[in-house]
Amino acid sequence: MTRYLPEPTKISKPFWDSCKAEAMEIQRCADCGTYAYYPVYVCPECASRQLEWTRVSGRGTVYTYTVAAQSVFEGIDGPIVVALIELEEGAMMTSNIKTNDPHGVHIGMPVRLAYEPVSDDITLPVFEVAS
Amino acid sequence: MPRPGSEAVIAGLGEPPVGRLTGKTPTELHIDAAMLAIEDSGIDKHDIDGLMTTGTFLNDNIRHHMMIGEHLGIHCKTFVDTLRTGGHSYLNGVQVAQWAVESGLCKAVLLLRGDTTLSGVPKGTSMKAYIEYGAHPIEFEVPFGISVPGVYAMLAQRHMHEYGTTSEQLANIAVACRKHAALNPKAFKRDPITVDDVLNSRLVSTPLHLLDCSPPSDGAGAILITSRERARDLKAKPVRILGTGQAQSYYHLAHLARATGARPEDKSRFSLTKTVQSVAAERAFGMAGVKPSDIDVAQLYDSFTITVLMQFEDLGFCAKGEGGAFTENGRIELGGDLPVNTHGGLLSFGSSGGINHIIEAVRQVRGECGERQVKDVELSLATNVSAVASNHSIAIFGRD
Repeated sequence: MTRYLPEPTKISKPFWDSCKAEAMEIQRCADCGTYAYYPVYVCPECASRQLEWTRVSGRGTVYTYTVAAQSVFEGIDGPIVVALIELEEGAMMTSNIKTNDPHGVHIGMPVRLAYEPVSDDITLPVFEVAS
Repeated sequence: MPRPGSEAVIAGLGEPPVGRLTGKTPTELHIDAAMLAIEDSGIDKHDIDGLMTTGTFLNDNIRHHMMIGEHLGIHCKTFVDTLRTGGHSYLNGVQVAQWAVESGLCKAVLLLRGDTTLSGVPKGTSMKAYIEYGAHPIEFEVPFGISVPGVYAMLAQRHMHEYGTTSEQLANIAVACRKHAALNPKAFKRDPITVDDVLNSRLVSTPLHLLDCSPPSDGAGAILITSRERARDLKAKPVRILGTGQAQSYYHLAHLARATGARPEDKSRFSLTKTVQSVAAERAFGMAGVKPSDIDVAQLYDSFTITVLMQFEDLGFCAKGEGGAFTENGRIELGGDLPVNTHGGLLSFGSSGGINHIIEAVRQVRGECGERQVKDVELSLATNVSAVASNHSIAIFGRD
């Protein structure tokens, strides 16, 4: 199966643009301080519309993960690590951990943001094991 | 509470063969199941004034229930829908039918499911079709290679981390389902398996092995719901719907893990490993006025072994974190405290979504399960789960 790439929408375009610029931004609620991910129209916690695109530190930890024996997509040689990453700011993201030692990944492991350009337009935010 | 006599009951069941049904079409399976349920109940089809289908994987459209209604010649309905809440559409449908009957909207509702997810999907195309059907968030999860086993694997990994759950404990569930399937002549997978067989099967997505995952299967089911007083004039032994509950949470895994948007005081109640099924369970047990230890037999939705293990906790059969230990010492097998998935479950009976769990739960109350019959069933529970442990429905059935 050909890899599915994100098709940015009105609300998500600033996010994908920031990934392409390798300076990922997500929305922070100016009223309650919640960092929201994925991009939303109102703060899911307090319903404020005062959402400000904010650069993140790129530090995170592994909340959970799986090592898939093979990717569902053509052209990606398995195994791949799919993970739920808890960002330092509190938001969580589904992403990949890029590592030569997939079975060395563990819950609570510190990771740092990295960028994987996958087309002319799209760069995916992925993670590497923090040294 | 509905007035006496207007209470909804299950008054008919239809369950065509499951497994690999080469040559069958989804529409044909709907009709096969419907005809069996009509025959089982003895109802005059003209008395059916509610019709729900549950969508199909490759043959769906906005007129799905109309197409099926036309095939059956069920002309004027006062309530119809095509439910598309995934693996919990069926028990969701039973509850919607219950409301339709008890409110007086309908006299009798037919709920149908039929699909050819095994033989009808060309090899190598199922993942693409599933993604395009909307199974996973296409912008923020799919590009990272998420898969159905992958997301349940992440639940399992987290459960292991938090509570020390083991692969052996997960395997106990697959083994129990297979033992039960061996007693069910209709089941798709009947060859015995051991815990070692599960652990030695291919790792699909850590920590889940191939035998932790339910295989694709063709199949169908039909359930007729009517009022208790109307059921008196029908052929089948009516089965009461004593308690029902539903709860649905989220689509994106990160939101599920965070309980995004929940009341601040509720946030700690919910996470990846603590689902909103606990809310549905409180409702269902509360309505029925019974407690988990009163249940004689349970048909728990088993897309994966972890799906079942977490339900032991969220339904209240054991404390949070003790789901692993609950699988041990034959407790969930026939003869144990809580026989689970006596038909074999999705893991071994094969499937058509979760409708067969409901059918088996009702059959256990009717006492029609042959070698796999649990003795003197008073209370029988069924669950459906979909979308990564997000959508939950529960029903507790009992004798008339």
